Amino acid sequence: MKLHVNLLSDDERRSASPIRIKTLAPLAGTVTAGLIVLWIVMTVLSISHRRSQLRSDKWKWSRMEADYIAAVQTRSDLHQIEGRLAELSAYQRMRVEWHDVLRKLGGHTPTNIQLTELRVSQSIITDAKTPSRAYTLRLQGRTSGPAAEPTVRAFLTDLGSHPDFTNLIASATVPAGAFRGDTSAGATEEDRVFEINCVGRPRKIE
Amino acid sequence: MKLPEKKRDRNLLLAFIAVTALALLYLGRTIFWAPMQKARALDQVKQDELADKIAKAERELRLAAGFAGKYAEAQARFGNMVSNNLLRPILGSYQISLQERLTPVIRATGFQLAGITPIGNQPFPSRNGSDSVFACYMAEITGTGSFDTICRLVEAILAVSPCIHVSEITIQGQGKERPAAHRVSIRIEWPIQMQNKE
Repeated sequence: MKLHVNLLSDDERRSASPIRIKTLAPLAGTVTAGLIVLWIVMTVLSISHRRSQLRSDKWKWSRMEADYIAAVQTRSDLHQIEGRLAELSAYQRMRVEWHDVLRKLGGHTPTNIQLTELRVSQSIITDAKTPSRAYTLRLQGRTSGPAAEPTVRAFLTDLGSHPDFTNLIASATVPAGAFRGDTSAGATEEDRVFEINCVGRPRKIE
Repeated sequence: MKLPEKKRDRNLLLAFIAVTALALLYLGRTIFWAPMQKARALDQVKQDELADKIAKAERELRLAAGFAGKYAEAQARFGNMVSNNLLRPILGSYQISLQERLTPVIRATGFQLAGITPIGNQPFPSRNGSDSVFACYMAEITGTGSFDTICRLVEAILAVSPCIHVSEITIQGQGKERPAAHRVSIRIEWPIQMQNKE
């Protein structure tokens, strides 16, 4: 038989655990308070550092802002002036060297055709995204003899397909009724007058 | 400090401590933590914006020297283009300027000049449309000449400036009596720089 004698009163009892609430609580409190203070200090330092960085950046920006605005203005001016030069270059490229066209036209006109009138007119097409310039060429002339019709036909074919003109002329036609007998004073029965309309290729302004 | 001996009192005290701690945490978050986080975020945004602006400005400034050179060169080219190839007014008159520049050239070709008639301005044909700083000054040159003379005339006019365009040509024969002399009307357009858009 075992006998267990309890000589301690209740308030004299101690826990057998080495970690006691009475020692742990102040320690935990101190550590927590210390960590909180440390965190507050670090946060304040971080904010202060950030503010200082911000002030430094603001100062740096204030030093370079005027130069930056001037540089942006220069770039914008350069862009504008290059745009103007491009506009003029595009305009120059659209030009038709009409003296060449007229000389070629003279060279291709058959000897038995006499051109009596030549009209060149232009239209600017602005409805498309890229505006373009188109020319029309209207020729009036006279010819005579049994070869009148084939001569005019050959001339028409030449205007519509010869490499001298293909860059400028898209199509050439004799309007209905435009090849007819010459009714002017002094004309013979074999004399013919005609008209040829040439539609030019639109030249894009780009 | 001693905890109360009674279990109920001890629990009450612990509950009170827990509630107080939670209340303190909530107050700390509301009064200190949240505004501080907001201020930090705001500072961060400001700093990021400023850093972006500075980086962009530094890039721009590194390229600025090149742009300045290109701009000076482009400006010189544009100045040459305007003074040499565009029609410049004389005391505000494009008509006088046109006549002074074209009349001697036309006469040198042997063309019988009847007149140079100003027609007026027309919008410059470009992608910019009406926003363009240029316009086309139109004029009509009339007279008589042989076909060869007309070819020389057109060539001489176009040689005055690479910007001159011949937009319309009318050549009419004068019958069998004068087969070598044609009535001619040539419409030209010559770009001008609009003063109010410079």
